[in-house]
Amino acid sequence: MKKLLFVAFPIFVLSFLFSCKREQTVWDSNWQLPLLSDSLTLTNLVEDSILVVNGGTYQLAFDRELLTLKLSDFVEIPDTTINHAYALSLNGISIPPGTSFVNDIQQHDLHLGEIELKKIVVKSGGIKIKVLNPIATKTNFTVELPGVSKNGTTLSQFFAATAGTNTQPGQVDGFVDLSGYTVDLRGADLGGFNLIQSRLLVQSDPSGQSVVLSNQDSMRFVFEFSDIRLDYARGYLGSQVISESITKQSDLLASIQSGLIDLDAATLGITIQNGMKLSAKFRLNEFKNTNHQATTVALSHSIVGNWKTINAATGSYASLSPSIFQTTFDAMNSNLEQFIENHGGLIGVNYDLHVNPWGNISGGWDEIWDNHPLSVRVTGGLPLNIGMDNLLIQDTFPLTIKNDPTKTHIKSGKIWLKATNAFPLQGAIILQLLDNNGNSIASIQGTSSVESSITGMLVNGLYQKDSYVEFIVPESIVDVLGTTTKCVVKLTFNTPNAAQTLNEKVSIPENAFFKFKVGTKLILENRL
Amino acid sequence: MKSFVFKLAVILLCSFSVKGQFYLPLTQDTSYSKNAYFIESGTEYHSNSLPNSFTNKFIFGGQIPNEQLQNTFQDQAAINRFAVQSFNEIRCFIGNKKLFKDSLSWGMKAGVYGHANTFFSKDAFGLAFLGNEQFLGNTANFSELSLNSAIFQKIGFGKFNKSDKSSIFLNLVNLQQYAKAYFRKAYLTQNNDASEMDIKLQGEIAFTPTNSFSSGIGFALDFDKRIAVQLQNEQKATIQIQVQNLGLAFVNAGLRRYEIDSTYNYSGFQINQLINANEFFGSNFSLMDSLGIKQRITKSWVLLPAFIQVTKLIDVTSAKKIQSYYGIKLYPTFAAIPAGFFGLYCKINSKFALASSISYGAFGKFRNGWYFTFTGKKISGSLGTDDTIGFVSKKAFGQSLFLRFSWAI
Repeated sequence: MKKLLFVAFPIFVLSFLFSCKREQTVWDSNWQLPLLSDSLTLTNLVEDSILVVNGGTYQLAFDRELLTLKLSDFVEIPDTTINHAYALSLNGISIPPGTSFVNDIQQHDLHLGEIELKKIVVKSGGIKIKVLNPIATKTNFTVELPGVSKNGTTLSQFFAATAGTNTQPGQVDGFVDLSGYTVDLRGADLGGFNLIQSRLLVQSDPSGQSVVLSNQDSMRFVFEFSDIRLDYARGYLGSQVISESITKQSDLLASIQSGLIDLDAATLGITIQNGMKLSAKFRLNEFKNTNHQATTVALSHSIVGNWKTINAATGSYASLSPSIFQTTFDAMNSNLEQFIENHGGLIGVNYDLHVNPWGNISGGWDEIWDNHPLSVRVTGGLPLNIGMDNLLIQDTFPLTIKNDPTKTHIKSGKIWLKATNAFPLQGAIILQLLDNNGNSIASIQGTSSVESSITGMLVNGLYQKDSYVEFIVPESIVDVLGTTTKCVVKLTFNTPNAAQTLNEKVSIPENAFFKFKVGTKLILENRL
Repeated sequence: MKSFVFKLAVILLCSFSVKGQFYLPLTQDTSYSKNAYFIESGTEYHSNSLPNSFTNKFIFGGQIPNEQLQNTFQDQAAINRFAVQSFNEIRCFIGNKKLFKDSLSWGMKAGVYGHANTFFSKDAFGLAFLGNEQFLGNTANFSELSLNSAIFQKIGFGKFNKSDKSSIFLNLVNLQQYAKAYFRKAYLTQNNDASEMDIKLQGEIAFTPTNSFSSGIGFALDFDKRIAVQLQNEQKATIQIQVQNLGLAFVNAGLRRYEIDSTYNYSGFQINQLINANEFFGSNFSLMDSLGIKQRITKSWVLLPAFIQVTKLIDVTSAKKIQSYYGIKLYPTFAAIPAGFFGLYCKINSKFALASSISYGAFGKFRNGWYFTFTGKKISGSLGTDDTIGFVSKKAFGQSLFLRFSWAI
């Protein structure tokens, strides 16, 4: 027993020493790390192409095509299937090999409704043709499309169908490519419209055998217009009304939550260029924007709500002269400034375009070339002489931080921003942390604002102001970091004057920049 | 990488080691005419710069005050060493049998061993425990930083000489965990406001990535040669040449290696780098690639943590009341320097003895050890420490405890 105890004792001591549950080793260490380093200019915010410099300051000048109506928007040849049966008039007659039958010219209506086309030029697409042969010998078919020509040659295509019966006809499938063909749709008497003609020549196999025909035998043809796209159309294109409502969200404008913008000398131009040889009327019913406070400002102008005549283009294809309608919105004739200053991110446009509002006054001589559309362009000029008063821009980013207090984790810290600002804007930053339900769980406010360049020194021709802002993250906020799912960045802009007494309009100088470095200073609680 | 740190921490904190680290007076006594059984267990840590007040926090846990961290940092030498090791081993020598010759017989051993050591600069300590803020406006140099650790089990069979107790054992080794890191060049240069940093790293980290019981298999040789010598005063003595854990293990689970040889300048990300496809750090972002770190897994052989010790042994059959013992010890690792020790052994009576030693080297500086030995007819036992001061002072640089129990049947 004594021996056993002697052995057991040291083992027990060692086991005890190393089997006790050990408390974590904890110490704090101090870390500083750079996070961001960048320099932003206006080109980071807007496209280079709309930024112009005028007198050493920036202004926005844009020219955008808002709407383009092409031939295909007015005329569309539907995928139409035409079945045609050609019954033989001979009965019980034996015909020798090589006997020919000629079918009369058939006319097929394209069924285009109010549109009355007399001539078209096909850009692409064609006709699928299926021929069913009930004659008990191989039969040759030649399909002719009178009025369909290219370079003066009428379209004609040859097919050979195997022998068949009425119940099990021989079949041949083919495709007639109409690309580049001019199609006369006036029909055989040249007085109609929307008519395409066809003629079929049938010949029994010249090297075959004699066959007996029956008047029960019926040759069948199936024409299927497939994916016809037009280069040109002439005729009467009908009286059509195109009404459209467009709603667009501008992410940049939508991020503006509140505050005031003060602008001046903004202009907005609308140009309607009609390259079609037909008359039209245009009416802008509404142009509005809605901001984050649900305030809607509709643009007011004499054009709004009133029809404006769009004249037909003149000349021929080679010398076409489109008609142009122009109008300008500015502070004198509209509420354009209020419209812009509403900084509404939700933009809505509603308009009507009435083609041939007075009917067929051209005598069926409307003409449209696919490459001469009707277009609506918007042009604008906005000198960046802008005033901001507590303009709050907000954006939300997903953000997940694992900060388990039982493991090595961030105990507290701060984020610092060191900036050189050459914009005459003052900005204050607030970071807001949201939990999974979108509830705000913490708010971190900068210790100061990023100062406007107006209060700075002139360096290389630009006023620049250095700022240093800290965002203190105390332990109370660190404790909730683990439940953070989103981070809201709130930027409040002002344009103070040099005396910092009130906000006034400022011009954005050429080459203005915002150069910044962001870093963090952390106390890390190490746990081992 | 996280796994590596975790393993290193486990190794450093849980403690383990290699037999023979201790400067316990080893004895040369009567021959093995009976079967002899030994149970040995020991744990120690030792440093030339880390006081117990600091190290104990990693063993027993607790908060390390910032003031203590600062003081410890200030007390770090240019080159610092630390090692922790432990072992638990069972051995038996079958003395009543013979192997080929009457003078030879066989024995067996089995045990669990662990060893970890590190070699680091003062700046490396500062960076690890105080953070980089300490070095703003300066360059932190943590070149030559090395970390080595291994946990393994072995079971061996060997032969021994009954009369002089020389022995040789060939062991089968199960390598449980292994980690190694070495940075030949490592610099961190920062400006005053922490907005820019230059990192130069040239080195490698390798570790077994799994937590399985076996990451590799190998072999190790334990060699114990006893040589009778004549000292200057015509006294006879026995010199022991001991080599432990001389061997290799093949890491069949594969070593995960991270290699880096690059200079990286970092001053923060740019906006378009940060927000890629409307998300922070887009799917194409790779920190490893950004830092130029190459990762690969290789199956390779690794060296086991061996040591060599030459000792003048105590003759327990001597009638002298006081005997001296001394020796040298070598660890074939970059982190250690050769160690020497000298001790006096005092026989209190026929059953009890007391010994004390002074040593210098290995992973630390001067140490004083005390050992108590009981020798019965069949049963013997020893209890000792290489760091007596470490038992009573938190300013000491290590602690150790050694237990040995043996009996003969």
